[in-house]
Amino acid sequence: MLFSENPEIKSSHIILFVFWIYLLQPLNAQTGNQKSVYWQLGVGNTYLYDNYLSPLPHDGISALFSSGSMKPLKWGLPDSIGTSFDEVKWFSQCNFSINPVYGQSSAGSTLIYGNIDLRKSILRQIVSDPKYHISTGAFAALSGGGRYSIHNGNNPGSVDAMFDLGITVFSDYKFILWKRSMIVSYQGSMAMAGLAFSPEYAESYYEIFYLNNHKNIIKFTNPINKQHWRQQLSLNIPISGRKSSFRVSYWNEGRISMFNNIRTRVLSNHFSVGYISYFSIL
Amino acid sequence: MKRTALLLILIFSLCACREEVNESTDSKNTFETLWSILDEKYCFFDAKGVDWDQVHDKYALRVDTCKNSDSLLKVLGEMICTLQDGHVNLYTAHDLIRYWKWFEDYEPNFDESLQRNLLGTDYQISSGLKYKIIGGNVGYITYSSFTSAISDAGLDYIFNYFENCRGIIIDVRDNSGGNLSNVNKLACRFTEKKFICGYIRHKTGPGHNDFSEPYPIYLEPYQGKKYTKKVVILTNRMCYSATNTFVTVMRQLPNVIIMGDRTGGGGGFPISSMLPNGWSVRFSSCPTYDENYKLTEEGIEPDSTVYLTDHDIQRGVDVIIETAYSLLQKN
Repeated sequence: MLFSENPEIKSSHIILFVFWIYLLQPLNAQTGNQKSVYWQLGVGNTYLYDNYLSPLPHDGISALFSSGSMKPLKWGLPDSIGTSFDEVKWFSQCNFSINPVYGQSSAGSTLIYGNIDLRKSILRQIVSDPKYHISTGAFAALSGGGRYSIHNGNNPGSVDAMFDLGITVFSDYKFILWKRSMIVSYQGSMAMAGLAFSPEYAESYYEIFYLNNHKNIIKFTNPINKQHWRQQLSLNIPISGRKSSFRVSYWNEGRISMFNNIRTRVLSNHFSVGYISYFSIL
Repeated sequence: MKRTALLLILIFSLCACREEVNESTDSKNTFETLWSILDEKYCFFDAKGVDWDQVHDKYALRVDTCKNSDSLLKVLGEMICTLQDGHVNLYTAHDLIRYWKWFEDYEPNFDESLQRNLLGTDYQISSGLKYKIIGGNVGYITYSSFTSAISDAGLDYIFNYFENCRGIIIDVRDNSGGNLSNVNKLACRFTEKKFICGYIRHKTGPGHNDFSEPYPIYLEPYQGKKYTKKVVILTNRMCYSATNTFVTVMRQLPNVIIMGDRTGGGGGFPISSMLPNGWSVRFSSCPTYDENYKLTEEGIEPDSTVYLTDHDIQRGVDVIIETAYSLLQKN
C-alpha cells in the first residue's frame, strides 16, 4: 500500500536496488577471488561557479558518500592460477559517489548542487614489490547533477550530464606501525575525452526540454574544454584480522568546463572515514 | 615514475583553479556587474536602438556620486529603464525596480467590478479559470494569470460544458503572464492541425548580435476534446509576456478574433542573475517572434479595437464584452 500511495518511495527503492546489484556484482563472480568492497562518508568544502546562473562564485559545506569495489582480473593467465592481487597484473574497480553541496555567495545567494558519479576502471600493475605497487589504467564514468539557485526566479537551475573516458593511477605502500600492517594508497584520475551536455550561452531549459531545440547541446570534451580530475589519498588500518580495514581519506575532485561561453567550476575537498571488507569466496 | 610525478603536479596545480571574480559590494562594482550582465545577455539592444556603451558612460558618472544604497538603486533603476522593457527588473529586499509604462501610460480598458457583475456568484472555477454561460448561450472564461495551473481534465469539462454554446469569450485582460506551458495547454484546444505559431532565438555569446538561428515553435492540436467554434479573446495593455504569447498564437487561428486594446508586449524570454551586493536582476534574453518572424516585444494589435471608457464604467457596461457578445450572437 505504501508503495502504491507514494510512487517516489517506490522509484527510490528501485534506484537503490539497482545500485546495490551494481556494487555486489563483482562478489558474485568466480570463486576463489580476492575482492574488496568499501564505503566511505566525508564532509568538506566545495567551490561552485556557473556563469549561466550567476556571475558570483558560491562556496559551502558539502558531503560525500562513496562506495565501490576492487577485484583482480585473470586476463591471459592459466586457470590454475588463482586471482589474488599478488598474482595478477590486472584488476578492476567500480565506484559510485554522491556529492551534495550547499553553497553561498558573498552576496548571500544560495546555490544547491548535487552530483552522482558512476565509474568503472581497469588497471594494470606496472611496478610490483612486496611493499608497494603502482598501477595505471583507464576509466569510463557516467555522471549527472545540477545546480539550483534559490534566488533566480526565471532560470533557477542548470544541469550537468557527462560521459568521461580517462586515465587513472593507483599506488599503495604497505608499512608496519604500532605492530599493525597498514596501507597508504593514492589514486588520481583525469578525464581525457568524452561527451557533455551544455545549453547554449543564454539558452533556456524551456527551449531545450519543452520546445525540443536540441541543436549544439552535446559537446565532445577534451582536456582543453573540460578538466575533470579526482584524487584520493587514503590510510587503511586493519581491524578484525585481515578481513576488514578502517579507512581515513582525503578526497579532492575538480570539474571545470567551458562550453558555449558558459564557464562552470566545481572544486571540492573532503575528509572521509570508511570501512573496507576483503572477501575471499571459496 | 617521472611521468607519474608530472601528472600529479599537473593535477595538484589544477586545484587552485578558482574563478577570478570581483566580489566587492561597492557601488562601482555593483554598477559594472549589472551593466556587464545586461551587456552580455540582454537580447533587445539593437531592436530597441539602445546604445548600451553610451548608457554606461552616462550612468558611470552618476554612480561615482552615490553615497548610499538608495541613491545607487535610483541610478541603476534609471539605467535599466532606458531599455523600456517590462521584463527588466531589479529586486532588492525593500523595492522592485520596474518599467511599467507599457500599461501605465494607457487606459486600463478593464474594470473588475463590471466583471464581477457579469460573473455573479454562480460561476464555476477550474484551477485558474473562472467560467459560466452568460445570456444568449455564450460561454465566458476569464483567466487572470498564466501562473495559475490549468488541468486537462478541467479543460475537458469546460469545453464539454460549452459544447452547445454559439461561441466563447476568453477574457485575458489584466493577465500579465506566467507559465508558457499553460499557454500551450490552453491554445492547443482550439486547433485541428499542427502549425508554426512563432519563432524563438537565444544568445549564443556575449556579443549584442550573437544569436542562434530562429527555431520554429509549433502548436500541436490536443488529442482529445477541442473547441473549434467562434472564440473572442479580450485584451488590454496589461496582457504581457505569456499572455502576449497566447494572443500571438490564438490570433492565427481562423475561428478566433482578438478584441480590445493592443497587448503590452513582453516578447523576450526572461532570465535572472545576481549582483555582488545581493540584489537580483531579471532581463529578457531570448527574443520571440510571431509566425511572420516579427518581434512580439512591442505587443499585438487586436483584430477589433474596442475601448472601455469611464462613461461606460459609470453606466455599468463593459462595452468590450458587449461587443464580443454581439459578435457571437450574429454567428
